[in-house]
Formats: sequence, C-alpha cells, structure tokens
Amino acid sequence: MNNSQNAVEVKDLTIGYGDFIVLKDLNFSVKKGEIFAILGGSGCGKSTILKHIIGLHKPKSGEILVNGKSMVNATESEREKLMLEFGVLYQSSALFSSLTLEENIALPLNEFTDLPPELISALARTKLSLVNLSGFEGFAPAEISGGMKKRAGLARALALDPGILFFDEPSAGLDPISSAELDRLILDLRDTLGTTMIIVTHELDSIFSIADHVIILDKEIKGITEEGNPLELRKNTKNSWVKEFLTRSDLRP
Amino acid sequence: MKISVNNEKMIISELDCSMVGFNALQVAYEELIAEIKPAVSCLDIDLTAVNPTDYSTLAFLEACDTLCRERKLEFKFNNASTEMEPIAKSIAENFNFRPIPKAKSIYLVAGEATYQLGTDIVKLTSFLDTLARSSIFYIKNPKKINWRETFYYMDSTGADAVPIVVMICFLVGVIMGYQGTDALGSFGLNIYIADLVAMSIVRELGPLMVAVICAGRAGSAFAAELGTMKVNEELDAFSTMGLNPQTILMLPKIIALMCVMPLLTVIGNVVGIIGGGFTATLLTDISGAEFTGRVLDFLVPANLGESLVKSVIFAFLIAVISCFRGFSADNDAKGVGNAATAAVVSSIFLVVIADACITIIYPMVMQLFGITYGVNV
Repeated sequence: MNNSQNAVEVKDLTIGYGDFIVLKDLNFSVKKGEIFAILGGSGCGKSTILKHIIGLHKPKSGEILVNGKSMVNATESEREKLMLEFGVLYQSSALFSSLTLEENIALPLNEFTDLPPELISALARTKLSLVNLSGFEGFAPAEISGGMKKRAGLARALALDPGILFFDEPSAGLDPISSAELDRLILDLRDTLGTTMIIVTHELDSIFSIADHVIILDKEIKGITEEGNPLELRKNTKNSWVKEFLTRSDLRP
Repeated sequence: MKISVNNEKMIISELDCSMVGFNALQVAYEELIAEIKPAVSCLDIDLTAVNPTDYSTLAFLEACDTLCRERKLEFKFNNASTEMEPIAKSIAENFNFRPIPKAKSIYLVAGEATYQLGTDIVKLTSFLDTLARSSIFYIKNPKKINWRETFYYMDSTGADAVPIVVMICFLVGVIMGYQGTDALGSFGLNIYIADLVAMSIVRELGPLMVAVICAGRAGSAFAAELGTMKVNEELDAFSTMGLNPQTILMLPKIIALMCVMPLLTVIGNVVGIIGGGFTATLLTDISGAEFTGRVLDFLVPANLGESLVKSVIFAFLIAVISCFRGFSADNDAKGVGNAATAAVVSSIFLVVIADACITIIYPMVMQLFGITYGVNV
C-alpha cells in the first residue's frame, strides 16, 4: 500500500483497441479531494481513459491503483467492491429508461444495502433535492430535459456516497447557465462531501472555474503534453498547441 | 472556361465555376466530358485566378482528378497561386486516399465467417457461464429477483400475444383439417382427420407456431431493448455500480418467457384442434361430438407432456439467444437493428434444431419409463 494520499494512481498505462494504440505510457495521480480534469482534442482518448479507470475495459499494460489497490489485477469480486467507491456521470446520463427518477436512484441502494423501503425512498428523494430536482421523483427520464437528466444522473452517481466521482463530458449539450449550475454543484459537493472528482471535458470555462489540476492529452504523441494548474498553465506554457487550446484564439479581428 | 486540344494534350484555362448554384460546375464538367477524345493523354489545368475558397472549382478539379485516374491520363496543374499550391498538390497526391475496394477471395470470406462463428461460440459459452452462476445465486436468494419486471414481461410477451396465437393456431388447425380431408377422404377414412389434427397440432405445430410467434415478438423486443440500453451507456452504468447487467436484466426475461410459453402453447393446442374440427365437420359427414370423442380417445397425457416440454425448452432458447444478441449488439442504431434480426433468425434456427432432437428423444424416454405414447406404443 503506497501513498494513500492518492485516490487514483495511473502507472505506465497503455491502452488501445485491438492492434490500435490510443495512449501509451501514461503516468498521473489524482489526490484525494481534488478536482482533476482530463483535457484534449476530440478523439485523443479522453473517454477511453475514463472507461479504463472505472474498470469497463482492460488496459494493454500498466497499472491503475484506486485508493492504493490494484484495479487491473483484481479478481472480479474485488473489482466490484472497488467499483462501489465510484460514481459515474455518463455523457448520455445513462438513466434507466424503464424506471422513474426515484427508482433510478433507489436501484443501487436496493442492491447494496438492507435498508427498509421507506428509508431507501427517503434517501433517493434527498439525493434528488441535492441536485435541485425535488418534485420530479415520479418522472421518467424521457419526460425531463437534458440538463435535468444530467443532474438526475449525478444524483444517481451520488447514491452510494462514492469517494470518487467521474464525469464524462458533464456540460456537453447544456446551455451556459445549466452548465454553470452543474459546475457550482460540483464545487459544492467537493466542499461538503470531500469527494474526489475526475472530469473529462473540453469546456474551457468550467475547467478554469473548477479544476485544481489538469492533464492535457495529445493525439500526436499519444500521451500527456502538459499538466498542472489550469490558470498557471495558460499563463506559463511554452507549448504553442497547449497555449492555443487553452486560450482559443479568436477568429474575428 | 476555355478548352483547347493540342494533339494528345488538353489544356483548360480561365477556369471559373463559382457562379450561382451548381449549374456552372455541371456545364463545365459536361463540356470537358464532351471535348475529351480518346487520343488525349494529358490534362493540363491553368489555375490562374482560382482561389482556395471557391469550392465549386475545387470540386471540378477533384472530379477531373478522378476522371484522369479512371482513364489513366496525366494530370497537371499550372500557375497555382501560393494559397492554391498546397491544395492543388493534395488533390494530385491523394492517389491512395480512396482505394477502390477489391473483391475478397472466397477463401477469405469463408475464413472470416468461420472465425466469426468461432468467436460467437466462445462468447456464447462465457455468456452461459454467467447465466449459470447468476441462476444459482438467484435460486439461493429468490427475493433478489426483480419480480415486478418479471410480471411486466409476462404481460407483454404472454397476455399480449394471445390474440395472434389464437388466430394463427386456429388457421393452422383449419389448414391441417382441410389437407386431411383431401388425403384421407378419398379412402373413406374421414374420422382419422381427428387423429391427424390432434397429433400434428399437439405434438408438433402448437409448440412450434407459438415459438415462432414468440421469437418474432419477444425475441426481437428483448434484443432491441438490451441493444438500446447498451447504446445509451445504461449497461455501463450497471457495471460501474458493481452490478452485472447480464445477471440483473436477463433473468426476469427468461423466467417470464418460460412461464408464459407453455400457457400459450396450451391455448394454441386447444384452438388448433377446434380449427381442425371446424373444417372436418364442415366438409365431411363427421359430427362435432364424434370428432371430439375421437380426439380425446387418441390423445394421451404424454402427448400434452411433449407439447409442454418442447415449449419450455423453446422459451429458454429464445430468451437466452435474444438476450445474448442484445448484449453483443454494436454501439449504434444499425447495430440494434442487426441484433434484433439476428435474435429472431438464431432463435428460430435453434428452436427447429431442438424440436428435431426432442421429437426423437421424447418417445424413447417415454418408452424407457413404460408410459403410453403415440399410436404404436
């Protein structure tokens, strides 16, 4: 067990599909309680990294440690136990369409706790009010807007009080106000619950307002070009591609 | 646009396709096609005054390039401005950009198909392993089964299928009766129509017809539902909650179908025999009472047993293979469609194979236990 300061540690990770290598020899670590952002151009493997860390895919080589425990060499049941530490907000929210919002959140609680139904329902309603969705308990996912789906997805990710939350493009498809609301919520959750957050995104505004640490991936070198605090990076980077990425030079004169 | 042909060389100058709409482009291209003679072996284009934002002219150049490749002509640019230089170069150089697909050799096709079949079998085996483990878990913890889902599927695959089962089985009974009248009536053996209808419906056509209907209704629905859940990342969401989606989503479907298909088969059998009786009484001099009496005399409990055994096994096969197809769907709309098709096709295929096996094995088992079965036993 090394360095329990880190919620997630990635060592020499190489990932890919079939013969195609997406990213190679990645090394980074995420401190507990940190908001960690993974940045990069389209198609550089941001979401793929996320899917590897949460254990949906097996890496080609390398090691992923979650709270000091190996994710790669874990047995099926050990991995399932580690996964209980995770909450994931998917790009498409991935709410179960045959269930209401309350049932969506109650599902993991039903599976992993022996709480009586009244308490489970109360917990589910609390989590929904946490994301400002009180009053929508009985709605089906198809009946609410995209922003509300994201928030409901977040409530479900929070159901089991996870230590680490993952966000796959949380603000994709949201208007600026909803996405700012979501950012506010992410900050609040970190401050109140101390949850570690790992965010995959290319929404620059939210990165500068919430992220403590970013890594920037590059498709050409199949790895990390720069890492550090986003504001400092924008000021100090020498890499012209990173500079352009972070400042997004205006096309209009 | 000006075209001049000089022996083997064709020169295009003053190129400008940037008029309103695509008319200018079409006119220029048609003119080129008309002027180009078999003797021409080189096409030379003057790019003076062509600028990189004139997309119609770029499209014209692209089309000329393709034309030259097809006819094996030399393709040249002249007088490109500094902005046009790289674009002209990329048009001329992307020779291998769109390779013409070659027809695959039959050995390659056969090899790939075999490989596909092999991987399918490997995947199906591990899938059955998961199924067996989860069944054991749920037999130990029956409360953990999602009974609400199970009843929902019983309703949608059972109750909702009754009208179509009644209609199809009745018609099949009518057809059997009619065919029987034709064949047996010429020998004056009309009363044996009852035997024929009862035997064929109860032992064979009842379970089979119900299985085909359920493969089409329930099988495709299962595969499409699971495939869509996969596309929506809902299956991933289950996995990251530490739940196995295969276990949690499959069992209600399998239990539901295995419960309702025997019931549907019983309905189908009864209606089918009624259909046969309907034709027999209508077309021959047999009375309804005679027909019923003959059917009841002929059928033994073991026949009904065969019907039920078949339907339970068919239900299991349809549910499992359809869920398997749904889980292994590709992550797009087409993938879901293909999964639904594959679910129905493989379900029916497996059902027919299983039918053949049971038809042969069942009488042997009955004989082993000394149970009366069929006419000759």
